[in-house]
Amino acid sequence: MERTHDLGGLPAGKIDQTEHELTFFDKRVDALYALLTSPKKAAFTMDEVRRTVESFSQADYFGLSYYERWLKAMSLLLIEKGYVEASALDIPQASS
Amino acid sequence: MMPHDHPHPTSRDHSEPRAAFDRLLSQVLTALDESALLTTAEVTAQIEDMEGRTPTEGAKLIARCWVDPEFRELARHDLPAAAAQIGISMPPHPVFLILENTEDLHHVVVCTLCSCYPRPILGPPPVWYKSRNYRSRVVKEPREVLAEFGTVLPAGTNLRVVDSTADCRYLVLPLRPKGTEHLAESELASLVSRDSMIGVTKVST
Repeated sequence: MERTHDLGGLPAGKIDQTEHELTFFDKRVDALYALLTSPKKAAFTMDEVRRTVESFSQADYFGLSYYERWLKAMSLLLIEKGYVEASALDIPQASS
Repeated sequence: MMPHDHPHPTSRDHSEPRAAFDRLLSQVLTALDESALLTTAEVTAQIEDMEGRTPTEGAKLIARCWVDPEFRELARHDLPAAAAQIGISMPPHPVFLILENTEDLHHVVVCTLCSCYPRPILGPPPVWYKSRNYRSRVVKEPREVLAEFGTVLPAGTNLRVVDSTADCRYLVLPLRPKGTEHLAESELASLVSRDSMIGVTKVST
């Protein structure tokens, strides 16, 4: 499967500068990320989250919102690290 | 390597999450509450902490650097210690550095790999900072990108693009605008925008 890694230098279009207030969903995912990657919890590292996001299909990497990507990656890592049973989470697949 | 000869779906960063992701978030929080790792109460406390971190706090730090040479020297060598003096608590990791703009050198910050940003000082990054188009282009055509933000640098000004990582984050110290010698520190702080601390704009009066 093709992976998306370093985007630096690739051709791309005009930057959409629209401001966007974080939703409650966004804030909770943001908080989860900060806590789980903190030295105190250290459930996984930021680089592990990035590695997981980079393993997504292009449909997910570009089709999910930023915080949807983070949540999916953290869910996969919580299972991978044995903190949560796979059966406890319904992780949306790329086509959903 | 990814191909770029076909269109990508439009970013969904301006929309509400899909129901499936709302459900997944509830499942994760429930599972974590049942584990020893994390409680939902900690998530709520973390949200409250983050809401106190906004570009207004960063602007205070910049204005203090402009008026207080000793503070500026501290910020150069120990940004977390300087931030603590104006009430911004910083984590022990990652490293935070200040990038000083001068008449001859302008800095702009990006995270090409994802979205690393000086969150403890500025809060969460704007959507455009995390966007594919900003991350792809600013390292290759920074002057064109700055022009989109209304910033035109003199041809003789060097432009340095700095790429953040999970281990090292940057805050731009913009150039103090001319003719502001009479302004109080709080008035100076009100001139400093978030975008000027990322480096896509300059501070003007």
